[in-house]
Amino acid sequence: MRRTPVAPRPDWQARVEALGLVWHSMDGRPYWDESACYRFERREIDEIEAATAELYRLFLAAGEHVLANDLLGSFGIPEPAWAAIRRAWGEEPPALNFGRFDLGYAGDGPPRLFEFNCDTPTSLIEAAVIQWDWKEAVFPALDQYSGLHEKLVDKWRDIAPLLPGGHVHFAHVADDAGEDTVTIAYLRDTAQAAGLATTAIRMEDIGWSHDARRFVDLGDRAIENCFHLYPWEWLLAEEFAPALLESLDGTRWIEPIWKMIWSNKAILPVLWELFPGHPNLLPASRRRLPGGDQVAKPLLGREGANVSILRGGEVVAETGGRYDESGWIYQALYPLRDFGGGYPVIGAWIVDGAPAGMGIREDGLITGNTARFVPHVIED
Amino acid sequence: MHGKIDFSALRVTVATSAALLASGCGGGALVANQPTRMCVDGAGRRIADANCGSARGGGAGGAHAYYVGRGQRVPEMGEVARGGSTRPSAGVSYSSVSRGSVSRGGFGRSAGFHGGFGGA
Repeated sequence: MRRTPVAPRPDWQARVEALGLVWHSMDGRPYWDESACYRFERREIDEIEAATAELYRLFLAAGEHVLANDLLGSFGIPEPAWAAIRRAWGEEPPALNFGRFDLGYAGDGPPRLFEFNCDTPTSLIEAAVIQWDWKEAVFPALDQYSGLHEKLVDKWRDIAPLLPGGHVHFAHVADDAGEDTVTIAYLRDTAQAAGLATTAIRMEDIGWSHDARRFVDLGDRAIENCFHLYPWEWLLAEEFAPALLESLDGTRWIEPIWKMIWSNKAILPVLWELFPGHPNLLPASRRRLPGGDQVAKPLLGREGANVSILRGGEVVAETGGRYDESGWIYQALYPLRDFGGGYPVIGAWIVDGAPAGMGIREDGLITGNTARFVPHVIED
Repeated sequence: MHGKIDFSALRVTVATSAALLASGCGGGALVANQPTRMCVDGAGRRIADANCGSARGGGAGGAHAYYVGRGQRVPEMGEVARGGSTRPSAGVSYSSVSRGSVSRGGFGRSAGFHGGFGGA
């Protein structure tokens, strides 16, 4: 694994915009950064791919453990949702079951899990589309670890018979950067490629029919299947939460409510308790670790918010945010390596248990929403 | 590790991003698929339909119904509604944003209605 400079394409902004990446720059600096790339050997990709499959296996076991030991309350999940989570875990309603494992990796040891973003994962179009288009233009003879697009289409095709009406609503909020809006548009494309009809709807436009006791769209059409780029903990904290729980047989939410188990950082101490010393895990606890450098993360934090790095008991880096009321976990600090442009974090994608590709984001010691996405190639 | 992918088939992605670039702002610009009724406050800002109750006329605090036609833009919550009317057009059937028994605005508060959370 190494990082080398690359000449950006002269028209790179127009090229990535044409494929949907309208948020390619922030505050005058590129978010999509093709002035460099990471180069991997095939064995390194094999190592990341194997770790991804292994971590999925560990998460399955951890999910079973959480339910068998009644830990949903300790995850901060509201009690009215517990029965629905148990039921969904057992019945497995249709889902893409996709997500992004964020891993520490530098080519000199096994990949280590930071967290699993599997409820509302983003940086999707960058990993699935933009970096492949870049590779084809700049390094057509090289390969890339990138099978996400096909796996998403295949998974939609797989679950399509389970989606009444063959129609899926895609719900999101209208964000200023356009990231959520375009990510939803891309996911609609993957569903349509599988033969499904789709409609976009903003979260605030979702209606509740008091007569039919079900959710409807702006045309008062029943929402049978709803993909949501909106966290479950928010869905359950808002006015329509009781209606949602009442109507789970009427509206299939994708991803399903059981994803609240895996997307909660309280799962990290559970994993370490079940698999202590596992080479793909970092020590994690609900209490401060007895010694050594560590990272404090909120249970329900996003984009690196409210994260603190503690060295020798002193805070050496921290981020602000609004996720500090959900409780904390402590995870041993992984020694990220600076390859010359910042600290890379591997985002290893998985679709229903199958490793599906990766993206790399560079930032400071805490990877947040100012990170840069840097493409990669595989050299054989 | 791909085969040949035809990214030109990403029609929704391309159309959406082009619309965002053309509008110069973030978005989710939504147009009504059919004549649509919603609720606005005394200043004309869209608010949750519950504020207008089931009545066709005014609600609490100056809240009142607002009507947009097919193809017109549906404002976001909190945004001033434009291009429509406070009176329904004669002979037009409006789907709700509150057709009596439908409430809207019960999701989205955590994101502040404006600006996404940016995923994870």
